[in-house]
Amino acid sequence: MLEVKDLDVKYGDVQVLWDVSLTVGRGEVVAVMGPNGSGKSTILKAIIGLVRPSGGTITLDGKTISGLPAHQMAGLGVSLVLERRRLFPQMTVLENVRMGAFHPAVRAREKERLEWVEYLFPIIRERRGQLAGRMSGGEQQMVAIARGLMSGPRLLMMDEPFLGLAPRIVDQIVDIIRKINAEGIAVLFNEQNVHLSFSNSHRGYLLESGRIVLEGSGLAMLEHEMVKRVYLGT
Amino acid sequence: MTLTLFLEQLVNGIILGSMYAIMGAGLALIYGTMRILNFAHGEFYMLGGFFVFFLFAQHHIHPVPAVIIAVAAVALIAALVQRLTINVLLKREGWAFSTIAATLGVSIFLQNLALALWGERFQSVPYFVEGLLQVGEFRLPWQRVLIFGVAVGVMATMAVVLRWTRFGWAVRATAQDAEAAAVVGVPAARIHTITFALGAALAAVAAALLAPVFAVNPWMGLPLIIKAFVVVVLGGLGSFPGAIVGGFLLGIVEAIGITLTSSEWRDVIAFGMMILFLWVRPWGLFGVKER
Repeated sequence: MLEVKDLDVKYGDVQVLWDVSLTVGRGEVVAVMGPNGSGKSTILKAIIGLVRPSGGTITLDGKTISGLPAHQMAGLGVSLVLERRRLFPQMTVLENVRMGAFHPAVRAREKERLEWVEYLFPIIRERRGQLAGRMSGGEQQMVAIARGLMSGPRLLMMDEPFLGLAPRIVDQIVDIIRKINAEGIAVLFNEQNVHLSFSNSHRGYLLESGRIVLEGSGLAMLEHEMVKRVYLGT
Repeated sequence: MTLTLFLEQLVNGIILGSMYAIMGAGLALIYGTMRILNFAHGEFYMLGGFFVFFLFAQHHIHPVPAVIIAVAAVALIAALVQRLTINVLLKREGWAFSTIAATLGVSIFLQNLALALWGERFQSVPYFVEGLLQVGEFRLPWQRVLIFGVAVGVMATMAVVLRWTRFGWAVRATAQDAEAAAVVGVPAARIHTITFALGAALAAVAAALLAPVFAVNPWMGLPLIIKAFVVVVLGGLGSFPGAIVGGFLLGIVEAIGITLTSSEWRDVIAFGMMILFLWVRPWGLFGVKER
């Protein structure tokens, strides 16, 4: 469904991604694992259109989407949950969630999708009038994912969804990823931790200094010599 | 000083405060969504004044359509200015400074354009409504009642739009996190243009209402934009409710201050208050401390 081919991204004169190629199939969960500063976020930002690639192509169902502005992507069925939640802090929980259905192409189904995300995240109904900025990190992450789902995406991307969250919340998010995926939505997420990345994904990529150095099924990645030696110290 | 005199001054302060509020709110709206200081705000005010002068004083068009046309024309010009300058600069590095330079340039350009078109003489605009409102000993020109009524109406409308409409949500979302807003489908560039036009339109409303009270001239925007900056400092840069409260506060403090001293002290009081705020509460009444 999503195909990224030979993606290059530069920030000014500094190149941060080199020939990155990856795919996400229909209904697949794919993880991109890499250390801090390896360029994980930039991949997702390039796909959504927040940064402009300097080379390569990004296609969705065969149609080129690289170069499209970010605000059109929700209409094409691609959604991104930004790193560190990035809610609108001075808006209420309900306003934040409803903003997720802002794109004209998805507006009509706002009501039913709201019911769906309220079912996935009961906290939304409980806290609907609260300012999003006043919630805890874990609660904010739930709202951020709900906002990302309001456009009814076929592909939900999440930039470090577990970052800075308590283990109990991490388990909840993992559970949510499963539920979302069970509904046929493909998920592409970033993570620094080997286990979190590859035990919760069908396939994974290892990114080092802006290049993909390894790819394989989640299980194969967990068992791979290089991954074990460098990232698990065994 | 009699109680009536004091009350009259207080009411005048509230009415002038409503104008400060509307000017400041425009500036705050623009700063809040784009993080730019619009130094041409006073000139959009000035254009509003001249358009009303042209339509109402010179061509005797009824004040209601005259004001509406003037405000709409200013909004259109502002949208054009935003598209040609700020929208282009925001995408480049160093936009924080380049937008200041650009709006200053626009300000000088518009002042000189007005000078060339209408000359440097102070032009007077007749009152929209004549007569005095009299309650006991207390008297107030209907024009001032009108100023206050329209200002409150316009601000209330803006507040409702920001709070309850899709456009208002998009403005607030863009102001709070432009990237997150783009990801959910908000076209930030278009929101920026409309917000800029709306901010300028607020200045034009103030000008249209004040034109009969003060005279119209190419430099009329200057004192008002300086007050508008004081207002946004009081209220908190970029805060719409803050600008409204700050505007009324400034108007009232000025009015009470000059009844206790004399009218030459007006600006001293205003800037004294601003400096005091910058000293003890630099993020303003409604602003948030920078992270």
